Amino acid sequence: MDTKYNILIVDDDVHNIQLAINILKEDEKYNIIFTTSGKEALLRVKEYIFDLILLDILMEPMDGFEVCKILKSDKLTKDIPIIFLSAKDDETSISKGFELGAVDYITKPFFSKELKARVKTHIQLHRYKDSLQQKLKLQDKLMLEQNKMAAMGEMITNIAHQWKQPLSIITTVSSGIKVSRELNVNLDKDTELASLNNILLNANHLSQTIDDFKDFFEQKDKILFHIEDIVNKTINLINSTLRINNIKINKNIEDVEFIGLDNELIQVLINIINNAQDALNIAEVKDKEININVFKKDESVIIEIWDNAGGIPEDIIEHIFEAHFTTKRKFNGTGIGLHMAKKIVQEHFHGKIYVQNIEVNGKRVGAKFILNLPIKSQ
Amino acid sequence: MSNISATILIVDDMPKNIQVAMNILRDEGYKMLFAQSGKKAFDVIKENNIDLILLDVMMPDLDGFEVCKILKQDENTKDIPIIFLSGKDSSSDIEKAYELGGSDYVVKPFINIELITKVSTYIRLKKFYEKEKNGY
Repeated sequence: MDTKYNILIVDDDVHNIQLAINILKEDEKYNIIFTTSGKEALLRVKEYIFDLILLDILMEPMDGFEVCKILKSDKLTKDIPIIFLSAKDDETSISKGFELGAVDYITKPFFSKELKARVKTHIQLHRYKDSLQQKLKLQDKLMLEQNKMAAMGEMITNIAHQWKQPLSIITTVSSGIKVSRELNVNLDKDTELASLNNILLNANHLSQTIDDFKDFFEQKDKILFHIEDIVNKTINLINSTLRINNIKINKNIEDVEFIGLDNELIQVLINIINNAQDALNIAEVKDKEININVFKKDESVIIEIWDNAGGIPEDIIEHIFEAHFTTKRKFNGTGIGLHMAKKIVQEHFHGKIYVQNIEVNGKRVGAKFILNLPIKSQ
Repeated sequence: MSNISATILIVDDMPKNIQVAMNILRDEGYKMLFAQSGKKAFDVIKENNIDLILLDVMMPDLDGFEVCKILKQDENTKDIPIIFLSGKDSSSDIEKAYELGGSDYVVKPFINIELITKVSTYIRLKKFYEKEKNGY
């Protein structure tokens, strides 16, 4: 690939700039831009993406240290490697240069081989770091999709369960009418109407289920909602598996209004509740319970979700939010549910999520997940 | 702490100099090995997976430049970054260091943060390079 690397040279002495350009221009991969003042340098970094900055220190009115400080404090420029190029060769200056975040410090006069080697080193290192970041971003994206797919799979199972009962009612009631017609048994009008109403009601229920699920998969804007509604929606979506697994949900919910992405919060709650559900099934406790507490504390909503599945072993508890960490390979765990929950809480809600074991008389009885979501700053 | 696990070899004929370098890098969490002659350095390199060499220039018998030359000619060792450590800052020495394939040249006495930063730079670069070579 024919990538060019942008290097910015900042020096108030044009001779120095010329010297550096002469040395570096031998390498065709470098695209060199220069400025003679710190102020101008700060403008240039907004116009171009630089792979390296060679920065003189003794400049008026803004010196190289000052320029470095400003660049390192700006999110957009803090990762650009800076090499100080200076005639100052005292220990204090060199130390200060590195302390300010420079990757290297070359004293003048320098050798052409020296400059070339250092520039090459730091451009390469920067390139590697960059490609690593890109890769991580891509991984994140893939994980998000994977989580959505996993959620979709679970939803389909849930839809199937939720549909069973209404479908069976519709079938029973309509075959009842059909049979009576075939046998010429005259149903009275009220019975027939009641039967048809029953069919209609259940068909509506089916269609409502579909709407609920469809709603969940749509990307929407932030809205004002009540946390309680979100908790109820969540439980509704996964209610059938909860019922099949015989899990009782206890709720204690304060009325709190919240502005944010409702579907994202549902996703977080589903991931946590599903995790509790899996734990409960493995633990084989007899009165399976999941408790949900919601209350307002200071300027945050606190959502606590805990189970009685025996808690999380100490050697595992600090890893459970890591990507692809799973203890339930056998149960199709992808190891991204809790990781995604944490990501969503941090990135979409600027909140925190943590976990602790609940102990009774020194014995671990369950795991408690705590969400802290700031109400403002959304 | 640098949070990178790496093994550094310090080659210097003066134990005191080895101690100084070790003290500076001690808190970074690297594994540190040392050799008091070029010859011994080759033995250590053969038996260990070295990520970086801090190489004194002035040593009896085999000096740092010769050690570097030999390492850079060997397919097995040519990718290990070498930082020369020297009490001299003569231009011919510095030029020679880069000519021979050295990554850097640091003049004694060391400035702590300078040595720490440089060591971390070349180690990270080497790790990235290895990853790229072996495919991610």
